[in-house]
Amino acid sequence: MSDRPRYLDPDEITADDPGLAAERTTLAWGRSTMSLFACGAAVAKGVPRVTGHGRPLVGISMLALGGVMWLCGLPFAKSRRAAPGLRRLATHIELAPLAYGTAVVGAAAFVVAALFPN
Amino acid sequence: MASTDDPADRRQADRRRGDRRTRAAEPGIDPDVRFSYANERTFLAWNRTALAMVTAGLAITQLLPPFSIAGGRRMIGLPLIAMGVLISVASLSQWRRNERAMRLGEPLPRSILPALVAVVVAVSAIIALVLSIGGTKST
Repeated sequence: MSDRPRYLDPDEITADDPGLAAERTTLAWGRSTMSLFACGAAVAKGVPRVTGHGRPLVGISMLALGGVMWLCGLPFAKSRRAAPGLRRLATHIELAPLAYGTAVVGAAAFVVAALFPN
Repeated sequence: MASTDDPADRRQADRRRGDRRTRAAEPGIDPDVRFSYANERTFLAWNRTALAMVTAGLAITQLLPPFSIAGGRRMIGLPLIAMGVLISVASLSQWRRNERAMRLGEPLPRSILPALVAVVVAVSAIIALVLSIGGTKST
């Protein structure tokens, strides 16, 4: 057992009290949501220069996407404060919307930047 | 108090109750939640890095005055945006590999993402330097 990494050493650590790690994680979710809003605003700003119209539609879509991300993180924020057996840890399926949502925003940004008048 | 029990008993209890996950069929044992949280924060930090690169690339193409070379702003901005898209997807598989390694007690896998980000940012910076020496269109 001594060659195993420390994070599985049961004598050294306990998962009963995550301490401030739970709060840091919740704050990280908040920063990520704000970053998505900011990036969405930049995309929405560039769209009319490329297409001539469409800012309200894109802007509302980006706001909605940011809202979805905030909602994705919300259940974790609540469950991190719960008793040890009731905590919910993020799964691949739950983190996927944030990853792929960011990729979609990035792809939209790429199109806007590529077509932007020189 | 349960917290003063023998560590072996506590580990048994940890394993028995587990932490709730929507997908039960995962290999290994649940690691300390603090490490799962840290892995989650790392994923979120990579995601913000991706968003920052996309936002920076957009700002470069939209806010800077045009360079004397045609398409100069896009030469700086588009690689950054493409890198942001790549990071946003890669960080998810990175999170998954870290989580799996922690569950199985294996060493954490190495990532090429930091090196990739460093190269793309450095190349964009060099392009920006060259274009800046060339001057803007109006001058």
